[in-house]
Amino acid sequence: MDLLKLSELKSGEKAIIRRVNATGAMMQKLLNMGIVKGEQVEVVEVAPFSSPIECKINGVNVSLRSEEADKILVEKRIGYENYCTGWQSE
Amino acid sequence: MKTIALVGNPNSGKTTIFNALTGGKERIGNWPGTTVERVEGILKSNPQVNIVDLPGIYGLSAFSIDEKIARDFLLCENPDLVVVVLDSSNIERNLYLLTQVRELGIPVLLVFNMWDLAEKIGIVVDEDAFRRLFGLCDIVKTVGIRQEGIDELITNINKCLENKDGEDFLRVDYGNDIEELISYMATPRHAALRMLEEGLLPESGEFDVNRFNKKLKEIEAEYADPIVVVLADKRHGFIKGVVAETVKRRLPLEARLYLSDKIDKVLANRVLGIPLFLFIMYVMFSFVFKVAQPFVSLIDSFLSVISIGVSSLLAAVNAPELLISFMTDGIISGVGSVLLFLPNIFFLFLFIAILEDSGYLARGAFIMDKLMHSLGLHGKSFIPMLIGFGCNIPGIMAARTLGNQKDRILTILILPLMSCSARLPIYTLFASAFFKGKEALIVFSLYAMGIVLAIISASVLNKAFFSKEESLLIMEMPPYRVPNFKMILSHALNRSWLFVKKAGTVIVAAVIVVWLLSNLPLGVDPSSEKSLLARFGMFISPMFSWAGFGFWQATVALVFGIVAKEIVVGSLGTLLVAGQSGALSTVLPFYFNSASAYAFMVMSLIYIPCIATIAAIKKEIGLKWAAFSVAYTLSLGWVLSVIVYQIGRLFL
Repeated sequence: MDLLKLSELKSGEKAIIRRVNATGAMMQKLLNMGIVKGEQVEVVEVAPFSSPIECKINGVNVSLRSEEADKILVEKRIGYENYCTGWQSE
Repeated sequence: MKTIALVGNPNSGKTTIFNALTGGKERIGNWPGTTVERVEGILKSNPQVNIVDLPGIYGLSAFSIDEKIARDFLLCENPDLVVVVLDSSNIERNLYLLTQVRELGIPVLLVFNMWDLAEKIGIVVDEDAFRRLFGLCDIVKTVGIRQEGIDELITNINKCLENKDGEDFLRVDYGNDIEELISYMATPRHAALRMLEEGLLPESGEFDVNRFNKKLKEIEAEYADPIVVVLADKRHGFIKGVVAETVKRRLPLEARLYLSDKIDKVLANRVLGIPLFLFIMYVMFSFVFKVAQPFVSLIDSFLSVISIGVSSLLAAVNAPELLISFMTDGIISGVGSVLLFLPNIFFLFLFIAILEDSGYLARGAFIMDKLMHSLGLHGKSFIPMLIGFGCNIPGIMAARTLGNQKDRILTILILPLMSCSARLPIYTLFASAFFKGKEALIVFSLYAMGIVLAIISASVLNKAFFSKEESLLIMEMPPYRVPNFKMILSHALNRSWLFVKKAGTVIVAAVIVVWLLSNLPLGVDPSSEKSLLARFGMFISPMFSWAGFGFWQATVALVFGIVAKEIVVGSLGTLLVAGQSGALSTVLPFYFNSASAYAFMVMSLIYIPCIATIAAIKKEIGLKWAAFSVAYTLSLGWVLSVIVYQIGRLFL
């Protein structure tokens, strides 16, 4: 499994959260907000100077500084939402 | 007297529900030992019920101050009922907090707020199953901004308070391993869970640490995650199960956010974002200070009418001159100086409420965060700093939008370095008297110096006081929406009134003290060489001789300037021109040269914020930091004005 940092995604790209390397307050906040492994994430916008980034996770838009997004490892799926439907139609 | 607490995620419309329940009558204070706002009110139709609005939170972990307040309140103050407000268009995310509250065994009435949005995307909820699975006392659907469902909510709150349904604990199945671990702790299950989550251990004798640690290690190894993550995952699993069973939606969740994302492609854009932000800030700035100006003038003329009226009335009844002066120069001008701020503060709060309610404030923070964070500040610090150029006080109050204590204190501490409009008359006076033809450059240099000092101070103070504190920008960007005008208005009025009450008393007291000092001992000409104030000035003026203005009139003017910076020019006028002919600008060169003039401007920029600002700092972050701010700005101002004078002297 090839894991990327969430901060490496470009705007409009989608992925699945596979690992969260945060601790302490950051970890708790992510857990409480439902930013946990298995959730789908989409980068909506990237701020000037590449930080922070705006992501859509679990239906909610959340901002993360790049150093925060570095700690979230994701697996990139190109066109994730069509992945399964495409498979069924074949 | 019964107590109910309002709990919910940020942006769930909790405050709207609170206002609807209390009829907009709120008591604002601070939570003990914190600067976090505590808002309370009385239930509209039942004066026996007290409602506490807890901070908007996502969960009950004790890492952030907001969460700690909510957790401590729920655990220690035993509310009779908790009303959990959730955003119906995003049920799943909002259920984590509900789960944690119900695990504490507190009776809950659940409010599906913003139900209209849920209907729009075709959400259907099986209420009976929901009630059963979470063990709720009741469920009510509302549209807070349109007051829909509020009457039903009030009725059901009263019902829930009478029959104590739902007092049992919600039991999430954590699996055999974790249940076993909990049983080792020999503590009630809900307490054991909280301890696990916060890394605490029971103190009782029955508790076997070794057995516990062994089991804990086994579990963490098996799941390859710390216990807190395992617990949260299990809880999310439980929630996903409930949602799958009880919530049906016809349209995908993304439908609601689609428009918001499109707006963000423009407003949060990496190229357009900053110019648009600056434009919006410019509009706000002119709004706050220009629109307020007619009201300021109105209050000003009203005050002078009152002042003239009172003095002629007192003169008519042969009152002593001292009493007349006390009433007009002391009391009325003291109260007046507070009232004159009021329009600015009101319009500021109005504009900030619009920014906050529309969802733009989060975008502003998003765009400015990189720059601000590199200075040890937060994206949201930018707005208070900008407002500070108009007047420091509303800037300090605007720092309320900063959730994190550290970010807020740091922002407030550097705010007095933003050169407010009241300092401008000092610069223009000295610049035109000593730097003919270069006035604009001189004035600009002072503004720039303030900004540079603020940047340096932010990094230094950050390292000195807050180096260990973590600051996060994991922040929800709420969907854009049209603000609710009625709510914004009542919010702005409430905040403004609070300012008048709190800061007002300090300001009036200080103005009276200065009046006394300049009029004592009895019979002296106000502020003349023989007054206590002048003697005080003579006593401390040698301190400023290294800065080139070590004469008592300058010192006294600076002391007056603490009351309000715009008084410095007026005081210099009275003190220096007295007994001589000519305007102040022609008299000044007898006392200052260009080096000491610039040093005096630097001092005016930096030294002690005005009393109203000090009062605002004290009100927002406490006496300790207010005292620090006074000491810091005074020493910084002194050091820099001495440096400026000593270097400037070499070029004369």
